[in-house]
This record gives sequence, C-alpha cells and structure tokens, in this order.
Amino acid sequence: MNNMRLPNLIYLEPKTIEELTEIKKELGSQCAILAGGTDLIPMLKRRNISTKYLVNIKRIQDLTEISYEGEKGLRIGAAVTLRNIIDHSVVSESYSILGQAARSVAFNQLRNMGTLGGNICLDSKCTFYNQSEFWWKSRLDCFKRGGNVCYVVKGGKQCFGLSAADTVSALIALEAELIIAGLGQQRRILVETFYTGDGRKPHQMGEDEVVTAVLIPPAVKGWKEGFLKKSYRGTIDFAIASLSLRLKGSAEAIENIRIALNGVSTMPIRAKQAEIFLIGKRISDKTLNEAIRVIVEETSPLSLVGSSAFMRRKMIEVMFTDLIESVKH
Amino acid sequence: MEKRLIKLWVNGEPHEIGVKPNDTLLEVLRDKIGLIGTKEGCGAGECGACTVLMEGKPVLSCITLAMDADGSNIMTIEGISTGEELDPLQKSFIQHGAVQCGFCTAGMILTAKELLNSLKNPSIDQIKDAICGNLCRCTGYTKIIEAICAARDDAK
Repeated sequence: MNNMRLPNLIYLEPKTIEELTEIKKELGSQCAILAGGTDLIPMLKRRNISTKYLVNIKRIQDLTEISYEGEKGLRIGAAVTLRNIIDHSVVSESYSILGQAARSVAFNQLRNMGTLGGNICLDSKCTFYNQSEFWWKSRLDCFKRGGNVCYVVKGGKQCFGLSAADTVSALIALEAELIIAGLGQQRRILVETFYTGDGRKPHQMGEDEVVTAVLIPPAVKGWKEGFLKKSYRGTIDFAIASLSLRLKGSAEAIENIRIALNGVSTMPIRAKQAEIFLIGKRISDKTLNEAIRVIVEETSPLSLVGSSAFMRRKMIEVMFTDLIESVKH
Repeated sequence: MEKRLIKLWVNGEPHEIGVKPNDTLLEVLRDKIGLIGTKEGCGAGECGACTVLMEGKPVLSCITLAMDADGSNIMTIEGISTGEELDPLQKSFIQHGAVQCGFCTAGMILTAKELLNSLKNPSIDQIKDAICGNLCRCTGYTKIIEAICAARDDAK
C-alpha cells in the first residue's frame, strides 16, 4: 500500500542566491527545489518522484519580494506566494490578469503556500504518471518514468504530459521574462520560450539552474485584458483550459492583440497565427469563428487529466468569445 | 537523517523540538506536542482537514515540512478558545449543527476564522470560496455556511 510518510531526506536552507547556485551546481538533479511544496511534497509522499536533497529557497530574502519601478516594471521573486501576488496593489491595478490567474489556482490554503516560481516550474501532469508507486507495479514504465511507452497518446513517441499551470498564460500575454540563475551567472528568457513541449523535461533549464524571478514590463495604457479558466469542479480539478487575452484598439479595428493558452497541451501556447489574422480586423461573427478555428488548430488539445480534447476545443471557443465580448468596448 | 532543533510558537507558547527533515508540521503538532485537534485526512494536500494558521494564514500542515516552519507562529484549533470560553465560531458551529462526524471541523473553523479576520463582512460567495479547500464528506456544507454567516453577523 501507499506509504504516506515522506521518505528520508537531507534538508538544505541556503540564505543567498550564491549559496543556492553553488548547491545546485554540486547536486544537480539529485536535489529538488522546495518553494511552496504544494506539488512536490505530495509527489514525494506518493513516491511519484524521489530525491536525496530538498533545497528550501524561501529563506532567500531576494526571492520572496515584489518590487515595482515605473521604468523597469514589476519584479516578482520566484518564492513569492500566490496569495501575496493577489493581494499586491500594483498587481490588482496594473496587471489584473496575473491577479485573476493566481486567484484561479487551486484553493485558499494552497494559494497561501504555493509560489509563482513553483507554478511556472510545475511538472507536467498526467493521468497515468501521477499514479502511486503501487499502481505502477502493474504497468510498464511510461516515457517520463524512463520507459518506452505513452499511455495518453497510443503509439506516441514522446511524453505527452499536460502543461497545467494556471498563471502561465497570463505571464505570456504580459510578455513576462524569467531570470534564471546558474553558478556565477544569470540569464533572461521569455516565459513564452521557456517550455519544451516534452513532458519528460518540460522546461528549458539546465540541471544547475534555478528560476529566481519574474519580470513583467511596465504597464502601458490602451490595452484591455481578460483571463478565464474552466475546470469541471472549480478548485479540485486541473483546468480544461485557461486563456489570457490582451487587446489594443476597439471592436472596429484591432490594433494589436495577444492570445495565450495553457492547460490544453504539452506546453503553453501563444496563438500567433490567430493574432496575425486578427490584427487590423473588425470584430464580427465571421472573424471570431475563423480566429477560434485557427486557435484550436494551433493548440491541438489533448485528452488527459480530467478533460477530453473535444471539451477543450469547446471551452476554448466559449472562453475566447466571452473574453472578446468583455474587452471589445 | 540529521535531526535539528526548531522553534515554533504554537498557540502563543514557545516550543523547541528536535525534528527530522521528513517530519511534517502535522506530525510534530500531533505526535510531539500532543495537539491532536488537527486531523490528517488525505495526507496529500487535497482535503483541508490538517489546516492550521501559520502567521495568521491557513496552510496545510500535512504538506508543510517541520523544518520549513522553523521560527513561525502556528495557531491550531486548541488555540482559538480563551480558557474555558469557546470562540464565537466554535459556538456558532455547535448551535447550527454544523458538526457531523467532526473530522473537517477543526480545519473548517480555522479557515473561517482567518476569513472573518481579514474580511469584516464576507458574502456567502466569499465564504464558499474561502472554505472550498475544506472537504466535508458528511456534506454538511449548508449548516457550516449558516454557522459562519451567523458568526459574521454576531460580530457586527
């Protein structure tokens, strides 16, 4: 049966980013980063994953702070809790879709614990992979467990784990960047290009690297924005889909638009073809229908983690129509 | 595994406890401090039975490492009454028959307690939203919501 006690661990608590990157350099994939722990600890308890070392990053002050400067924009430390983002005045005034997206994650207690960095680096979710060790005794290992088969897509040649994090579509729509620290260096990468689409290793990140902060450009006037997420049972289930939209202009002529989705496929998707199609157009039933067709084609929704591809396509249609309606005036 | 001494303020009282890295806050509260009002339900952060207030905010003690909680203020269900006098929320739960098997009650009351502390006049929707991570498998939600509403109204 399942043993719900945590396995033996070595616990580390760096106080600075330098200490953290040194640990990461030395231990690489032997260590797991503990921020909110809301996903990691249950996975360790279920023996879904194993790790020798746990590295708590919440004692690094730099990682737990939010700051806003007019010229630089918003900087959110990777270990800032979702609750602190929701409650932050600058977020609710200038980056409302981020607040809404953070608000849509799980429930009260988990938002008090879970962090933005954790949501961004959330492991891919899968109806099969996330089963217990006991359950896996009766099956051959899938790709993510080091085997050679995918149970989600029959005959699939790669891992089709779902990219399920709710805040990511908002971050992509807001053109957010990540700061990733390695030993003695750091680099910046757009959230949009951070994901690989391979469930085995969903993030563009070296074994010796850690996400330390999120940067969002200064808020510009003239954009309207909206976020929606659908799931079967509000807080318990992962999303059928989440959709973020930012629009500049009016219903008569769309000057600019950004559309981002997550929770539908192996990676978050910015619907670039639909954006190109919509820029300069007037919003009508015809353009909307064509845009929806393009978005669904770009996202190619999967059937797993609580929703069929059919339902995902339907919900993308409903959410996109509702969001356009809410931002077009 | 290396044991370490951590310091916790539980219900206002300081405790110094030797813990192992794989001890959860829930295990420390129940097995080392003896406060068994906090329950273990699913053990995986899904049901809310193990909710305690950490620095005033509801968190799940079954997926919080004890070492991670080092230095923090914890409030459990044992800490919200004053002496023999129950908290108004506890009284309201009793009066409204909001306790059936009682397993979710401690977590439910602590979550509601924080809600009433942070919002003076929460709507029914806000109450439902706040407690949606606390599962009651007797499904006595109607009476639970009535009890929280009554405590809210009495506090005005």
